[in-house]
Amino acid sequence: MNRVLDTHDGARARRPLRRPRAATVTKIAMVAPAMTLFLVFYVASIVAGIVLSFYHWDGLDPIRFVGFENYRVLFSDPVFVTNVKVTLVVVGACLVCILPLALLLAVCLSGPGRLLPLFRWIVFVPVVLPLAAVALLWAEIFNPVGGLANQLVGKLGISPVAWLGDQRVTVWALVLVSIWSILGLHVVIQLSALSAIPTELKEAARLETPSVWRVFRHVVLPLMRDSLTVSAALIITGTFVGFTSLAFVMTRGGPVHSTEVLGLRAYLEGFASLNFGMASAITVITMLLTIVLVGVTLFIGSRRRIEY
Amino acid sequence: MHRRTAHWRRWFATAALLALTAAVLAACGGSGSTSGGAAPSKTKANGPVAGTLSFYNFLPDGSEGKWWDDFVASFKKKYPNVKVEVTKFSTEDYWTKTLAAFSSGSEPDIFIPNAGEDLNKYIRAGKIAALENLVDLKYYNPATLVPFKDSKGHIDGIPIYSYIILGWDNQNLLSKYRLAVPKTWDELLAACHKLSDAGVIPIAMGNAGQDQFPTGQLQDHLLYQLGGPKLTLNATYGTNGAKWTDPVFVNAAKQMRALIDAKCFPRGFTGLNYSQMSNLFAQGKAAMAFTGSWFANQVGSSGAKFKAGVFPFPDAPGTTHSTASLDGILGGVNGLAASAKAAQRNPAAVKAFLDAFGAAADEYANTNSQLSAAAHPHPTGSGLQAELSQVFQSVKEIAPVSDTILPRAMAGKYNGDVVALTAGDMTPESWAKAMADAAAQEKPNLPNLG
Repeated sequence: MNRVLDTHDGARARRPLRRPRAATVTKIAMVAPAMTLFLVFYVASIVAGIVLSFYHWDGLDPIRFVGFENYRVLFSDPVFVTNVKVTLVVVGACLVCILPLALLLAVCLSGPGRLLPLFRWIVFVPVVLPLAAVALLWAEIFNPVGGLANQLVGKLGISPVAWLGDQRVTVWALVLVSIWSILGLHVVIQLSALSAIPTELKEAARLETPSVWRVFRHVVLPLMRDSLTVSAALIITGTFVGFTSLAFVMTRGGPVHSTEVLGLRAYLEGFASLNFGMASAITVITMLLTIVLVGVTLFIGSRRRIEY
Repeated sequence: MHRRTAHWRRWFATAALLALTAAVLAACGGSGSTSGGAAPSKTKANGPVAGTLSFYNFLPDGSEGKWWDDFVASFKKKYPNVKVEVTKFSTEDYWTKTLAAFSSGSEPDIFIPNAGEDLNKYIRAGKIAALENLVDLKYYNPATLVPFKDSKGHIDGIPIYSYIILGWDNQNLLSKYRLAVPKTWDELLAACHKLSDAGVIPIAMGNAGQDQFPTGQLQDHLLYQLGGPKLTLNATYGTNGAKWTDPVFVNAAKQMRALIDAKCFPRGFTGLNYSQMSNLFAQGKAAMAFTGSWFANQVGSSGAKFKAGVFPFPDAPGTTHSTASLDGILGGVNGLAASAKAAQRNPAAVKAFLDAFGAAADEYANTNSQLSAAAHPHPTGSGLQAELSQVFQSVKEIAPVSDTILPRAMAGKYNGDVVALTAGDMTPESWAKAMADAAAQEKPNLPNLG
């Protein structure tokens, strides 16, 4: 069958095509490797996790079907409620702190200054440090006996704090470490977005108003909506994973579950308590929560997009 | 030209698809059956020593790591037809990766378990070889084989070292404040008050992060004193009439709080991990510590500039099983175990490896300042090792630590809730109740201990 094509000047042309079946086979074959990997390592894993959440299995004994029992136990477990609260608090705190800070630092570090590349490097170094080094460094900073943090608060006349041993404080200490370790990545994202804004737009806006703040608020910021949305989505997903690792190494979710986010709870249920069905149920709930949070973020970010 | 190119592209794409699918299926393929547990063949055990052995080592660092490297090298030299594949892990990775290996059917031939639930779960799954007819048990102190005996009477592991958990003292610091090593509970509390008033840390302690076990072990010590061995296991399973809400648990928790209220531990100790806690003692900032005999190696290697000693922890009020008089002491055994598959497939190599260790068991303990599991130990290490050995030989009973005998879910809950107790976030009564609730919740999933 011939397909009718519209050409640029409206004239119509007829061109014979290759047989559709052969073209389809080629297309499928081209995407098949990537799709196979995606199906096996992502989709199949997710499906397997969902299925496993309806079973009880300790990794060694025969697997046993328990239906919705794992979910029932979770939703009636006050510690699980704490896990959800801690997760939302941590994600919210990271979002509220990292986005404006990254934007501010990006604005300060953009431009042609000679020392700016050095400062950009300093800001980015924590991103590339391995987790073990970060945990070791901050464990010593937060050491209640002679650690740097208590030396500093001591100079302010405050009594020594058990930074990693007081449930009122520990989660905020870990949020601080989390922000410190990933801020640099989001500064780089915002820096690249800033550099993509055409200079003539800003110059044209400055002709309208001498106020740097008004130019930033009405011209620069709207054009950075996409990069801020991407950063927000990355902070949400990154916090779910990164904070889990940090809390595992530094506090193991303690004291009293105050730093036990959902990801860590899933790990402990699976590999510490050998309850892989329950761990899978937690990961299913975590996945749904992540989808909701990222979905809301992308929805908000896609509204009233501005393009010049 | 176009038709030929399109034809060639189709074939290439199809071939790539088939190759990738084959690779994925091969990678996802199983690695054989997971059956095991039959006794190894005696005839084959005395056959030629050849083949491959895989060995999981979670003691890869320091003097122990070097000792194991040298041991494997000398074993390969003696048995050149055996290839030993050593995989080294940190402690935390060891447990999870060993579990993953056993679950997937690719378990190591030989590995280093704690005697207790960590080994027992594999024994129940039929994946561990019985060793009593395979290896030469004459190398070992019979008392150190007892923790490896299962409910059917099989010996499922051989000991590499024993450990006991007791008090450590900095004699220089105690002398400076005119204090003797405390022998009674009142002397201990008085020493804590005097030292903390003088700005000295009385007992190095910490339970932050992944290292929740120090206070869990101290709680176990108090429970043993007040009620005897395996109380937590009995309460979890409801055996011997024990319940978590029994007064003994509340009383032990109260004695723990008494130590904290007497300022025995550093300020903010719930934020100290084990390494930081150990450094406090090794650097001479704490007058005492409460930890295991493995600490001798750390004290020795840290270059402590004071005379260190060990002492049995004083008895708490209401004690029925005295640790001060060495009726018993908290402790355990680490060992070597072999997978049932390895013992079936290559019993000669497994026997050779384990017997080679048996012959070197005393040397291992002396090199690493550990308590020897050898039948006839000759401690040659530091004065600390000799003192520890003397205590070990004198004690009548070794009470196992809760996190080695409890099912994993309860072990984590136990250590975690003791942390909450020490942080003041739980009262003794609420701690005991929380453990009772956890045991009730875990009951359907508790393994049958046979």
